[in-house]
Amino acid sequence: MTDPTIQAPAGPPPDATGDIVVSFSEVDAMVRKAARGAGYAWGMAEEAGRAARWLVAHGTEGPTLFNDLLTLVDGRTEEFTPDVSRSPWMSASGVICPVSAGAALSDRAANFAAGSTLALGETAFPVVLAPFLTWIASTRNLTIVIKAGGASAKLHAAGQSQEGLEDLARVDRGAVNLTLFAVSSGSMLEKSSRGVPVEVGRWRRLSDFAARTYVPTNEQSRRSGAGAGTSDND
Amino acid sequence: MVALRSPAQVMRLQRMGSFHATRLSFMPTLLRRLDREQWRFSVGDWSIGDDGVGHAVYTVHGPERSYSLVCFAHDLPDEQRSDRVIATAWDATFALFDGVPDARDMMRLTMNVPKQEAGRISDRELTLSRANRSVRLFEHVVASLAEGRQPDRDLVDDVGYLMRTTAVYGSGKFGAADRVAVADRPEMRGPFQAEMLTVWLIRAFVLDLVEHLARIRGGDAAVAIEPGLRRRFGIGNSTGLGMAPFLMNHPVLLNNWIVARETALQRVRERGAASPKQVKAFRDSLDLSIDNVRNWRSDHPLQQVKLVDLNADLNSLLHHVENDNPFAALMPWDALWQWGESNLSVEGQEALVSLLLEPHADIVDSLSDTMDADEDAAFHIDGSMTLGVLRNLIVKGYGWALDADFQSRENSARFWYVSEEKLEPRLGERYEEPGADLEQPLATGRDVALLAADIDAWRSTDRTVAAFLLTHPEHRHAVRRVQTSDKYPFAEIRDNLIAADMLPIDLLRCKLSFFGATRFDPRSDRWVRICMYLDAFFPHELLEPA
Repeated sequence: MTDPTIQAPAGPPPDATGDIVVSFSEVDAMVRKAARGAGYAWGMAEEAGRAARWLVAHGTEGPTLFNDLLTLVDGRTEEFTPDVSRSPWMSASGVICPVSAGAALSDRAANFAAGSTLALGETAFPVVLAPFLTWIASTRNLTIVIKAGGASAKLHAAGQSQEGLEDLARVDRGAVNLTLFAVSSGSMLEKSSRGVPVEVGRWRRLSDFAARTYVPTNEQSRRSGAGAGTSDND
Repeated sequence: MVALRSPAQVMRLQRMGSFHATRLSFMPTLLRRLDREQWRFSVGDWSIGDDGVGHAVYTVHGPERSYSLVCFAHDLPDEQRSDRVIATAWDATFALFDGVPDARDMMRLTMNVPKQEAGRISDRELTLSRANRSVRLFEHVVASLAEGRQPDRDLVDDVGYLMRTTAVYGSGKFGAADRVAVADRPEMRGPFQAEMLTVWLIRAFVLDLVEHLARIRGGDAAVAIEPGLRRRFGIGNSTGLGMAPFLMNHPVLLNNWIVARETALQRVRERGAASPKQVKAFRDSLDLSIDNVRNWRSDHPLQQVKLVDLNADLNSLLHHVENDNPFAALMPWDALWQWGESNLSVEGQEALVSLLLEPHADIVDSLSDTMDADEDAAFHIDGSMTLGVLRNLIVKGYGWALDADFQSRENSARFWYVSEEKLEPRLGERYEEPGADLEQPLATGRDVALLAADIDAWRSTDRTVAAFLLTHPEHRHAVRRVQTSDKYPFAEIRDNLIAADMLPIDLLRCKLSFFGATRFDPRSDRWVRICMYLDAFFPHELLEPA
């Protein structure tokens, strides 16, 4: 019996076209591996997988967006890491990676209180910040308004319905402003766990990123790596 | 007051690799529920031809929901029979359907389930699985029954099963329903309940299949297997490294499994006078264990030594129970346990844990409700923690890792990786094979030791984890582990997982014991055959017809 979370998620069959329907855990595993393949440290890749899963669970396009994000930061993730000592936060490349920024925000959750504001410079795919912000909203009892690229979303504690995510998801890049309020309760999120359709080409592209983390097999490692014989005729 | 055993004692590979199934294991937990809630059973479809090829649908009906095992029987040439995950064809393939499948579902499953990894299932399915015949037993049983004879009991006991499953994929794999889709159903809340149900129904199907084939071959002369003997057939499983990293990747779940088991042991040890009924239950399970060890074969030298020890241990335990009257003690179960700790091997001690739990359903079984986990709760890092506090947590929980010299070849001999060919976890030799640059984050001890070294290099105990991680994102996964194992003391295996002498079968054995597997038969240091549901009821015996 095997472990779905460690096993690499399957890419689409070679002859597949159109959409492939994937589960949340496949999105998580695929984006985690793809993020590692694009150069993130494992712990950051875990954050990326988790964020992608959250996004599809909330009805936004996780896999597609992570394709574009990983293409942007490919091989130079540190240039997109925010310098948090500056205001607004800024990165060496001039564009902030939302996974790095989300993790940095999440790590600083204890600093946030109602009434405070925070500005981030040009940030790629600001909607990716949402899963990190809802966790902060949960743990600090806040509601967080995020504004970026003309869109605005109101984020509540995890488990609640999030307002404005769809608009925010349409923003590819923009400066981000966060404003934190004392909690105002949103409505409960209607839980979904249905499979998510993803265009095959995009899933395959993620799969290509993920494939960079795999070790090619030779006959010797095929035998010893798994440690089994070849015949089951007994 | 009896204390829980400590993580330092329990969370060692040698001990975890000696765990036995207990009444808290996921198979007995499932069967208790089906029995208690009076689930019903039906074979909704049996379309297996005279050539043994076709499909069948086995359904269990619960108080609120039904689940159906959709079975496909194939004609597999011997040369294609491999229990490796690299196989591409099997004797039988299966999916567990959420509900009762209609004609369209069946058409979709017929197109995909036989292809296994190369197919896709949907969120209407909970698991995907396959099995191969045990060639030496399967043919013998068909031939015997066809000729009107019962199969040879010794051969049945020797092999233990007619088919071996390999992978049982669940939790969203290959498009299946995510765990979150079913986790709030009482019958699916516990770990691996969908997988355990799948395997139990596979066992029933395989026994029915073998009787079907005997009828085809023998006509009127054919007989069914005598019910007592039928129970002696379990279902096999062959598991390799694919499963091994699970325990490292699910630290909170591991913690909760171990805590449940250790708490059960603690509760039993704290019990006062033993009732005659409890004593009898203990004796009965001891007899069963001795019987099980008698039929437990392994060609692997490591397991052979353990079996010799276990056999001696169980006999010495029997002698102790018969001659020293341990049940007369004020706290008889604790006395037995203490005797065991001084007189038994590690293998025997862990067998004793299982035996001690057996007579005490009233204080043990409810713990099975505590064995699932909210893994999200442990995911977030507390960035406000100071490096001084984090460093102390490392000393507290990872002294074993700080003491090890990871520069030495033997302490860093291996690396875990994912193979490009099978997309499965594998173990490589760091100094002999390429690929160590693509290492998976499973070298838990070494990674925490590296983290500790970089914390020390900062020479500041007041700075925060948040600041440290911005400079050192490569330590993020290790920080998460350290903070997790502070809250969940049984979350971390306290051994070097990349050491030259590390035995992956210890990881497999631990996990499989929680499933409820028996007869662990390592085929190398990294894959193992087991038996499941040996002596268990069949669906038609336990459940009323639907």
